[in-house]
Amino acid sequence: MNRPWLVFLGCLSASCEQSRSAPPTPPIEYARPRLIVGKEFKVGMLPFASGQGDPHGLHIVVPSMILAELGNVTEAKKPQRYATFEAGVLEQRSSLTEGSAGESLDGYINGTITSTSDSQVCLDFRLSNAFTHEVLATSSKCIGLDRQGRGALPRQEGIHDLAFEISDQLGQPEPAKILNIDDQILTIDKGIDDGVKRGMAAYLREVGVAERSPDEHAGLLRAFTGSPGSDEPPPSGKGHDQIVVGEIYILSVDQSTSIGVLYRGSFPLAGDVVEFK
Amino acid sequence: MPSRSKFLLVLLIHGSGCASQSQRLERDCSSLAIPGKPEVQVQRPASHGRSESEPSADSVPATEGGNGRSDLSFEPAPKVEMSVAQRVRAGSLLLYRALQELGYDSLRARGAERHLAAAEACFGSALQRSPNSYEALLGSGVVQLVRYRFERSVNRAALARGSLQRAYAVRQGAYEPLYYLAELRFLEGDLDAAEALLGFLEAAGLKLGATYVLSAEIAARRGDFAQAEVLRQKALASGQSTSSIEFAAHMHVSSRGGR
Repeated sequence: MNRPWLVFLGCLSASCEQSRSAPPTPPIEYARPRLIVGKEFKVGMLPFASGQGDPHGLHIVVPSMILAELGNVTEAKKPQRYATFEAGVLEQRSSLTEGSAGESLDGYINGTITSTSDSQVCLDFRLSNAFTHEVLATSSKCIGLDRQGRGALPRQEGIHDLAFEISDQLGQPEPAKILNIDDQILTIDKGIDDGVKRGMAAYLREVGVAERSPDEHAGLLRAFTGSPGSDEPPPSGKGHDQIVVGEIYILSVDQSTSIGVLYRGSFPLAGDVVEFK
Repeated sequence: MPSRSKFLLVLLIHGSGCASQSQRLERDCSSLAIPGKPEVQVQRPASHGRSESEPSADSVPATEGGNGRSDLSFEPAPKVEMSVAQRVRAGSLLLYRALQELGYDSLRARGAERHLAAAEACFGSALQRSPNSYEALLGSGVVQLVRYRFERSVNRAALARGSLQRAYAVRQGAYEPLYYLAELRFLEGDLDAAEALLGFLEAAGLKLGATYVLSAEIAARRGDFAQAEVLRQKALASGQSTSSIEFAAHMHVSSRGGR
C-alpha cells in the first residue's frame, strides 16, 4: 500500500477516535413556555343565599351592586388589585359555580342575606379560593335600604364601604423567592410575618436579564464562556424581566416560609420570583 | 478499468451526489411540510418536567393524533408562511432526529447531515424574524456545536459560542446553554472551564445524565479513571438521557473490560 492511502486511513481513524472520545451531544430540553396570566386577583361574584324571605330580590341585587362598586374601587387603586368577573350573579346566566370557578378565577365571593327589614339588609360575605374553596376572608355588615315604590334598594354608600372592605380583605405581600422545589410543591421565603395567607394566588416570574446589572451580566458571561468578553450586549428594555412561567396558590404558611402548589405551568425552579396577585 | 480508476470514479460520483444533496438541503425551512396543525401542549414532566431523551411536546409539531412525534416531510409543501414558533418547533424536531442519528457512534453521523442542515435553516429563518428567540438561539448554537464536533473549525466554535451566549443572555433562568457551552469548552480542550460550567447544572439538578457523562470524560482526560467510573455510575443512576446513558454504559463496559 503506498503512502497516500496510509495517510488517508490514518486521518479517518484519527477522526473517528476523536469523535468517539467525546460524549454524545444530548438533545435540547425545552424552556418553560411563557404564560399569559392576569396579574390581578381574578374574583367572581356568585349569587347570595337568602336565609329568610327576600321580597325585594336582594340576594341578586346586592351582589350585582357590590360587583359594580368593586370594579370602581379597584380601578381607583394603582396597580389594580382585583379583576372582577360576573360569575352567575344573574341566576339565568349562572355558567360559573363554586365547583367550576377554578377553571377561570382565582377566587370567588359569595354570601348570605341573613336578615331583611324595612330599613336595612344584613349580610355575611365570604371571599374563597377558587381551587381549594378555603375561605380567605369573611365579614358581616348591615346596609340601610332606600324605599323605591314597592321595592327597596341598598344605599350606595353602604355598598361602597362594603366593596372597599372587600378590596382590603386580601393583602398583597412583597414578592418572594422560591427556596426549593419538590415536583409541583415549592417552598418560598415569605410567611405569616410577611403577610402571606393560605389560599393566596401568585404567579412565577423567571429571573430575567433585568435582574442583573450589565457589569454583572458581562462578568457572568465571561466566567461561563471563558472568553474575554461577550460581543453581544445583554438585551435591554421592557419585557425581558417579565417572563411568567407558572401560577401557584399557597397551601400552608409558617412564620417565615410558605408552601405553594403549582397549578399552571411546567415546573418551578429555585430562584423564581413569586409575585402575589 | 484498473481498480484504482474504478475507485476514483466512485469517489467522483459520490462527490457530485453530495453537492446536489447539499443544494437540496439549502431549501428554506418554510418548504418543509408539517403534518397536522402544530399545537402547544404543556406536558407535566416526570422530573422537573424534563426528559432528555425526548423532545418536548411544545417544541415538536404534533400530528393530528397529537402524539408530537410525527415526521417532517421533505416533499414540497404549499407555500404557507410559517410562524417563528413553527420554525423553532420544526428545527427542534429536526435537530432531535439528527442527534438521534448521531448517537454516540460517529460512524452513523452521515445520515444526520440532512436533518442537521434543515434544522439550521429553520433556526436561521426563525432568528431572522425574532433575533432574541431563546429557543432559536439555543437550537442554532447546538447545530453549530454538533458541526464543530466533526469539523473542528474555529469559525464553527465561534458561531456556537455566540449563539449559546446570546441564548443564556436572553433567558438566564434556563441553564441549558451552559451545558452546551461546557461541551464546547470540553471539545476545545479547556477542561477547567467545562468543569466550572457543569458545576452550575449539577447544583441546579438539571440535565444530570449528560452532565455526569461529560464530567466523567473530563475526569478520564485528566487520568482520574476511578472518579470517571463514579461519575458514569451516577449518570447511569440518573436515567435521564438515552444517548448519554448508552455512552456511559458503553464506556463503563469498555473500562471494565480493559482493566
